[in-house]
Amino acid sequence: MNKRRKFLGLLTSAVVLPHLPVNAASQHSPPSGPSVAEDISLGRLLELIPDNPATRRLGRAVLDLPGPDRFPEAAATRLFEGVSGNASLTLEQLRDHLKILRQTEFEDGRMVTVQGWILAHSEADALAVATFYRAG
Amino acid sequence: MFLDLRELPDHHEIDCDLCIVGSGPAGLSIAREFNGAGLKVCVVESAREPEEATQQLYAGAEQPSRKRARSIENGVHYGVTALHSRLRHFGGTSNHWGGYCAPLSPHDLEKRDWIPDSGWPIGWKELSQYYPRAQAVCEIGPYIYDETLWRGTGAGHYAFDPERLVNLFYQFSPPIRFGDRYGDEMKASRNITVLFNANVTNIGLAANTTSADHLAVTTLSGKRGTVKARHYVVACGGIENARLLLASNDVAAAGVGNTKDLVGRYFMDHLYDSVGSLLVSERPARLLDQYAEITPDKSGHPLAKSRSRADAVMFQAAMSPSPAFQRRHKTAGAALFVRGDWSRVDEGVRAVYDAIALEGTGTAGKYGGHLLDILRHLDTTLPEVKDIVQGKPADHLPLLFAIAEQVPNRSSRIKLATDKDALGMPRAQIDWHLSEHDRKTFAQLPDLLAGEFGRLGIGRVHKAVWLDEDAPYLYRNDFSRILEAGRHHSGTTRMAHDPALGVVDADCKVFGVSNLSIAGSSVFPTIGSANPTLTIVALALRLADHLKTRLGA
Repeated sequence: MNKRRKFLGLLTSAVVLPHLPVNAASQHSPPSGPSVAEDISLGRLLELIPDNPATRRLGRAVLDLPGPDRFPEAAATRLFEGVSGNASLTLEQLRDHLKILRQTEFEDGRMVTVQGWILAHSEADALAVATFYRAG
Repeated sequence: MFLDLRELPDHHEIDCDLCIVGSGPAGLSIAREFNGAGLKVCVVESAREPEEATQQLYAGAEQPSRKRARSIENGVHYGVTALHSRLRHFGGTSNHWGGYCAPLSPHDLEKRDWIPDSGWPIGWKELSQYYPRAQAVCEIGPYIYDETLWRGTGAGHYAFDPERLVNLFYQFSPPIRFGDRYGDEMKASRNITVLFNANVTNIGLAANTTSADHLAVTTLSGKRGTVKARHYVVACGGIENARLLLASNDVAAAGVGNTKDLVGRYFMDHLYDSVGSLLVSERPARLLDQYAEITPDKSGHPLAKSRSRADAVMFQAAMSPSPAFQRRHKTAGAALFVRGDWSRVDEGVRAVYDAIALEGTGTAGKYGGHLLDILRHLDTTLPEVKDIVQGKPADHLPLLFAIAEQVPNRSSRIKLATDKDALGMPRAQIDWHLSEHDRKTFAQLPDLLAGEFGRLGIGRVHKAVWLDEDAPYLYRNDFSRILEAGRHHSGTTRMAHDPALGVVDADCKVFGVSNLSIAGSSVFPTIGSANPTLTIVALALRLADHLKTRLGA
């Protein structure tokens, strides 16, 4: 539970302080516990990512990639960068946000190969966040 | 007319104005241009029909050891294709041609700073004027190779970034078997003789080596003859052209036209392999249809020749890294095909895709919301779809198949072996070398496709294992073991402005030999990604025009 709470806190940091660099966001003190809005925020993200062995396998593979940018905290920050008040985003709004993010990344060549699949960085980030959270 | 050396007296001599060695697409395209032209032409060919003993003359030398063949640094195994990839009888290798026709692009002919020894001595404007005539010889449609071919066919859906990915188009010859198609014309000709069972064993140079004096020909049973001409054209294929020049070493020790040690070097072929597979976010038939072979059935289509659909010329599109992309990433050309068989996809997967197709009609409910959710939001549910199709992914996912251009490589070469064929000629030894440059051309393709397919929401690419940066050493450093050669032997008598850089000049005449020309893909300095036959014919027609002037036709 501690791990989940800490992560939710970090996720909230990323949401509330979207323009801060990753390190700054990570250093932000986590709140004492998740709020309803935070749960909604994470829950909506997870709604977009099915929970199944393939998701978990790819998510684990993303988390195992070398480098600090694969930390789930950093991944969450990137996913919501530039979005303010995202806890109030509807599922469709969140989906649209991620779609634009993906298109931009594909256009800019910001891709990562995970177990052979060539994904946009935000797709990999989403899988990493989901896998980390669901692992409890 | 047709003659058979076996039926002529021993040591018979034939005199003519023009002698053409080989009756494949290059040789017969030139010969036809002289039909009725007032000059005496002799086309020298081996067998009239396929026969094993003659075909065996094409067998290559025994390959290097398997251990050596596994290293790209030391040359790679070319398998049995020296024997079976080309045919030694009337019509030549057109007898098993698949019919793919596409022109080279202007970019293919240019000097590309990032590709050593690239650049043709003739420009696109010069070459392209012969393509429409070549189209007629190959019995295909008008010279159209762009998106207009999709009009009225229901294809043409995706707006790729032209700075990255462009479409290539192919037209299909029936295909023409040159011997069958043009044999009657040759037989009826009053000024053209096709001499069968005449295997050329030597190009006899004059003592001063600056001109060819005669060709020595022989039957399999040993009957000999001579052909003397004012001008000679060697047109017997990318391996054999080099072999014949190298083996003709009785006057010039290094062989004919080989003072700079270039004959046989720069052997190139097209490289075939999968670069990955594709998970599409829509019904796969849409993509497969776009890049499938299409026979236009609308009467207004430029390839719909006449009354019936059967007369229409089939065409197909492929994708290709744009010239700008190639320049940016310092790679060579490639054609990318989407291969898959929608009809073979199993029922479960078909239901998912059909559900998506039906979503807009309001009838998808029977498939259940879950299935729809999977594919509707593919971008974030990719693994779920992968789960569905997993088990037989290779069968279910459209394959991304590449035909890549091999870059010129001086150490890739045809050599003479020590063992000899039934006529006493040294066999060809194919010492095929690939390079890191060739691997890089392939390696860039999955990301290129993934970027464009992802940006447009078409789907996601699964990279072929051998191209993954983490692939085992075996695949990373020895990719020649897993790819296939296109059997488009090229480059061994390359064309250049400067004798120090090529075997033939811009008119395809051998440097230093005043009356000897070469026709065929052996003169290509680079090969692009297009299948070579249309360009072989176009260059042959260009050479014919040049020879008409030279010989006063």
